[in-house]
Amino acid sequence: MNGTIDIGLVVDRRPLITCAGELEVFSSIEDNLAQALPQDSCEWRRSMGRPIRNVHIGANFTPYSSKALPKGTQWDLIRQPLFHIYWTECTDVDIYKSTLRDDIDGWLKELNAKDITDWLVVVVENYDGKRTNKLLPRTTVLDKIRADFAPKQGDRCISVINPGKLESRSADSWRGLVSRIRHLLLVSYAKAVARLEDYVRQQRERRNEIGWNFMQYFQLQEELAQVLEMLGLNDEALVQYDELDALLSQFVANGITSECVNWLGEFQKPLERWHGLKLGPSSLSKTPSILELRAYLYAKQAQMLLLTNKVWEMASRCLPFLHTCTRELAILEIKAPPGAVACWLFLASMEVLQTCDKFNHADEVEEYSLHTACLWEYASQKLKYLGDLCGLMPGGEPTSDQLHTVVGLSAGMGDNPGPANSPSPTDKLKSALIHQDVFNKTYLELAELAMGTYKHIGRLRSARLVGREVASFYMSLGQHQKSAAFLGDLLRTFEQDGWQELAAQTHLELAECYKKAGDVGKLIRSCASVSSAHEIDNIIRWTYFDEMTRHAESLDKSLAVPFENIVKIVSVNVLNDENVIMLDTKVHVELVLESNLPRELVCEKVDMSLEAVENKETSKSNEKYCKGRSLSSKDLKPRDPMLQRLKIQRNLDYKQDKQLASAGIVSKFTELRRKDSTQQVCSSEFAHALEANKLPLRLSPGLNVIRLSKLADETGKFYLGQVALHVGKLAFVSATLPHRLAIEVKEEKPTLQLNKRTPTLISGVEQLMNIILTVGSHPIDPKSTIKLTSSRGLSFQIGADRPLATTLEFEVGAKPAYSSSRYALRVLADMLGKEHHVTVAAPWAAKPTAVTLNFTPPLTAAWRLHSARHRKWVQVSLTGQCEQGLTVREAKLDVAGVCEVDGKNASSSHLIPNGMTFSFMWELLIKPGADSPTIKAEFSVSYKLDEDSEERPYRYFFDINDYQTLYLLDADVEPAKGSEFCRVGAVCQLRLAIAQTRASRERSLMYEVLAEQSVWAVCGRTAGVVGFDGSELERPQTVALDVMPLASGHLPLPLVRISKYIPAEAGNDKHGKGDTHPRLEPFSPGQVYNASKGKQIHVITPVSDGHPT
Amino acid sequence: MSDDALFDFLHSEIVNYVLERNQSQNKDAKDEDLSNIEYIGFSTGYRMIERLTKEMPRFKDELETMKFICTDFWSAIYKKQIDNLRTNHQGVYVLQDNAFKFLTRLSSGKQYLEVAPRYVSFTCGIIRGSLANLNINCLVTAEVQNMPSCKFHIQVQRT
Amino acid sequence: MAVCVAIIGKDNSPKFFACLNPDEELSFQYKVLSSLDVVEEKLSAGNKAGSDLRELYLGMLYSLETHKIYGYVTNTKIKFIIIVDSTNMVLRDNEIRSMFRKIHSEYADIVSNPFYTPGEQICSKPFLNNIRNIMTGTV
Repeated sequence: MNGTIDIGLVVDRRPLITCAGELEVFSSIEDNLAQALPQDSCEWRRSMGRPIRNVHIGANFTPYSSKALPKGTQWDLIRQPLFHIYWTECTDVDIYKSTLRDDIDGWLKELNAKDITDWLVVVVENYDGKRTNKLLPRTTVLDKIRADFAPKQGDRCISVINPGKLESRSADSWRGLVSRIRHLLLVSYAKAVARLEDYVRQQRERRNEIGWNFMQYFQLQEELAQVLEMLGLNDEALVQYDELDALLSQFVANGITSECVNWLGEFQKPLERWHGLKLGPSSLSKTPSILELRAYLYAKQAQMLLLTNKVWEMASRCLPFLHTCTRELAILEIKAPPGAVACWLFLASMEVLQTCDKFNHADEVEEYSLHTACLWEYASQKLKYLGDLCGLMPGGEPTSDQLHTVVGLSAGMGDNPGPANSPSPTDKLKSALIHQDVFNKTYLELAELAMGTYKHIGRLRSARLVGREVASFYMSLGQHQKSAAFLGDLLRTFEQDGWQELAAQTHLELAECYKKAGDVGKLIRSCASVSSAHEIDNIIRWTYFDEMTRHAESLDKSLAVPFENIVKIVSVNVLNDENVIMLDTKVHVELVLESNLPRELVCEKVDMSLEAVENKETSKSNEKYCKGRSLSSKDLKPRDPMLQRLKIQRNLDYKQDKQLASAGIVSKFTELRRKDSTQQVCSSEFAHALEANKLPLRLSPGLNVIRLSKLADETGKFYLGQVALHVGKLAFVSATLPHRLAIEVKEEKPTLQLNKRTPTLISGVEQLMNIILTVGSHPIDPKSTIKLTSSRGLSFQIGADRPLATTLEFEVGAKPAYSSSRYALRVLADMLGKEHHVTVAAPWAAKPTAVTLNFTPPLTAAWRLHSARHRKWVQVSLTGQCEQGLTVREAKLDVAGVCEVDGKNASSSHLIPNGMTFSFMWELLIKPGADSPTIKAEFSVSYKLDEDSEERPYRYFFDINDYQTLYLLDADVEPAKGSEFCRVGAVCQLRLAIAQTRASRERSLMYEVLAEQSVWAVCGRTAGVVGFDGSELERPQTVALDVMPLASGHLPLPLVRISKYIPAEAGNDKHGKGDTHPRLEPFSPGQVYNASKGKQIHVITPVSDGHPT
Repeated sequence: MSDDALFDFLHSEIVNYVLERNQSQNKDAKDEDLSNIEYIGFSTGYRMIERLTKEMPRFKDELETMKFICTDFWSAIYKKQIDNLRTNHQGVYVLQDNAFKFLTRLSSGKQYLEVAPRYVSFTCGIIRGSLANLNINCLVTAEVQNMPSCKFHIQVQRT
Repeated sequence: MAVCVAIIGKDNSPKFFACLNPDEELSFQYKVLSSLDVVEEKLSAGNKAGSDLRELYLGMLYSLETHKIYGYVTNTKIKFIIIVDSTNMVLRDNEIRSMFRKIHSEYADIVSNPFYTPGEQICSKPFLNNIRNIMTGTV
């Protein structure tokens, strides 16, 4: 209850209330009052515009003593009695007038003398049972007191009824009393607090004066903090502590050179105790070290924070606080035994963590985990440091010096035992410093907690870095598997984020790990990775390269190491010219590899696998199929999908009326592909593999061009798969190529073709054809035979000397692949048929094929009958069909003796080239007027192809009928009477003269004038009938017709035609139909001789009236 | 003032140069291939946005980024703002510039409409490049109906 | 005076790393990598908190016994990290901010260089010199 420096653990800062008057009245209610006062809160109005707070205020009661009265204006009023109550039970006005009044008066005078205005007079009224006196007295004692002593401050006097009893009426009045006391107490207390605040401020402003002592000032501000704490304003108490914290920091940071901070020198003595923070109620010793001061301050701040439910803030302040302490120790150059500070830091962090552990509401845990993660890591780091210092790390024994150090450290830690089943941090540390296994366990526990918490809050990288420390710890423990696991996780994180240098470093650490573990396979992989990392020093890379090759030689079973960054495929190129590769040819692929190894690697074998493709296989979505024949670095390097080029094109929209509505640009959007983060190393079949040409291959650092080839021995489609470099049992295997390059192998089967040499095949003449045998991709058995069979009428033979036959078989003979050979086939078709077949049977074909051959005859002939009056000629025209040209000779016309024939040009031989027609002419010597029996004529000629071939006969049969001239026709056009010439548009006469030369059955003829409509116009009849009875032979009948020429010049006469006229016959007919209309029948050629053919008439232009021509 | 003219002329010449090279390399003139011009714009926008957003506070969301494009970005390049921004809040935005800088000198109506796409391709690239560097992957196309008004369609690719 | 400056790309891989003391480079790399966690945390917290994180400057990411690490993230998700020695009490927040702004300027310049493809390592000597000058405060 005084303001001296050494205080007990929990400081009582409650205000002091003195009690004067009838103390026995008070003492009966003292306990109730003391309990009731702080129960409810009261509004505290603050100065300087600060917000109103609700506070709980309690009090300590002490008897009134005029000697101990402080002055109302002194700054430390807060420590002194500052509220005074006068208790009385007097109910009698007279007693009041006699004794009480003076007593109160004296009391008040003493108070006023010290400028104290905070007082209260309480009149206690105890009633037993009912009021006997029903009438209220006119004035109560209370009224009197009020009137006498506090006329203007009525609230300074109050009465309370039956304070000890719990009735409703008295409860109200009790509450009234309590609240009044509370209120007035607070008013006085507030004044005291304000005074204290002012004083503290004053003192702070003097901080740079000589003689100012931080510790003294500290206690002052702490008092204020404690006052606020007592009032329940923990956050404001925290503010006070924070100000002290900042003040101290500022002093230490600003240096210790100035005189004014001599007190800092006090802190510079060597460190003797490192007891940790001692969170919880604690006290500060008289001469604390800076660590102890800091610890105390932090403990207080922590306390305030916990009271205001800010666990996380306590945790968040811890690490910066520890850093500050470390820095301040350095700045103040405070000497400490080795490890002492580390112990203190460890204990401090562990205490904070332990405190946090007590709060395990989920949201609280979430909040503070963010900060405790770092603390766990920090604690583990400090423990590791101590372990190194004291020889506790695995794999070593502590020396005697180190044991000595441990003893010293343990002593300096002090004792701070925890409850039975949960050891305090101090206990833990002491135990860990002594027992190595406890040390290991503790360290790993802390590291695991750190990693777990980091992962929980989502700081994966930090967790992995803690894992790195753990990995090195496990290495020294000899547990290489675990170490490798942590390093593996670390490596993955680095590779994922693309930190190549750190990844390379981790490969180094992994290599060491695997070396100690004796895992040769993984060691080789790590050595390979280390030696191909450009970020590492060359000498180290060479060392690891040598190590890798050394271990590779001693491998007993094969090991596959993925390419990853060791070797990169730069480009792949299929060198074959054609897209399709023939069976049994070589496939050539050019591969460019970039080796990141520091030295040359000698590979005995280099393979590239081929994977067969099944048809209709659904394409995997993450594989891309390359249409071309090469993969360049563009395809193989992973590209950032965000930076890719798009295909943009112009787009024009037209309206319906072909007008341009809008123009814009559109994109043929290619889907953005994500970068493949993982390279799948699946093993593909190396059974069918392309192999390198030049072995052994010396793979040198940088770019290497390698040629691979393979004989294609299977048909089908293949994809290039993986590349493998073999060094002894070690194989570097690449991932499957991201774009699949396809190779197609086809085989070509042998074919047989039967080809004509000439465009048309001529029958009757020996022709030459070609049999072309094309051997495909693989050679065929020389003994295999080809068989040809012909249809009827066709014979052939291979070879010039043997006779023609209808079947033919010949051996193929030894023919290499891709060769074609030609066999000349002589064919001869007889003239009877036009279409012949050749059936070809070959051993490689399942069934024989039939080939159709079309033959045309070598010559075609046509005949015509010519007449001149009664003389007849037969013309036979021969057209050559043979490409070469045929020689014909000895043409003969045999008319079976009906009459004589006179050949005009039959005897000579002629060459008839292809398509040319040659005519032979014979005159039929017949008597005019004689009968004309049918002549069966046979035309024959000998033909041969050329000088060497045989001469063959050609025969042409035809009948000549009705060849005698029966009628002679003559026509003439005469101009109109009076004109000399015919004129255009003038009617002229066409005279027809028809004469019968032989009697015939037909009696009537019809003549028709078929005039060209643009040239002649026939006026009147165009046709008519003329009758002949056979009586007057050779005597013409004439017919005249009117015609009009329509054009001028030499016009040909209109064509006249005569036909047999068969009049209509009524009645029965053989065929049962009544032919009732007349018929026309044409004459055979030769029966009518038209003498006017070729005649022309000169027509002149007409005379036009009045116009000169 | 002279800066504007320089930019206009440089842009026209780039368009001419690239299209001429296209023609000499591949003869198909069915629908003009504007990929190269667009990519020049893409590269420009991607790099430029770093400088242009240096002083800006962090963009809270996609819409705020789009608003930036319509206001500060457009002003910095074309000395005016976008006149109208519409969105369906599902990743499709339409920016309408009623007097697009490169089209104002060509015509005001339908004349020369068929060559308009050449002159907006670069800008589409700039928008796409800028947004790409701001981590918004999108497809930018344009539509011109009446010169010199132009609409830019931005379709954000949400992966 | 900063002891280390790092520029991290969008994909969290380092594009540029400069240390005044080359021996410390490896250990600083570890520290910068772990500070990326805090950067990510702050960025995602900024989204929830609303207008809390409008600034590109992120402030102090975390502190170690001997160093303090500050971060800055551009709108294009490029991260700049500065490591400062703890014993250097002179360097104040404003000065750190201005260092970041200068680094951002340099970065904007190099991105505009057509010979630099964004996403690659920055190997430009002038850039390195400028950053060193910013680090030592001689700009």
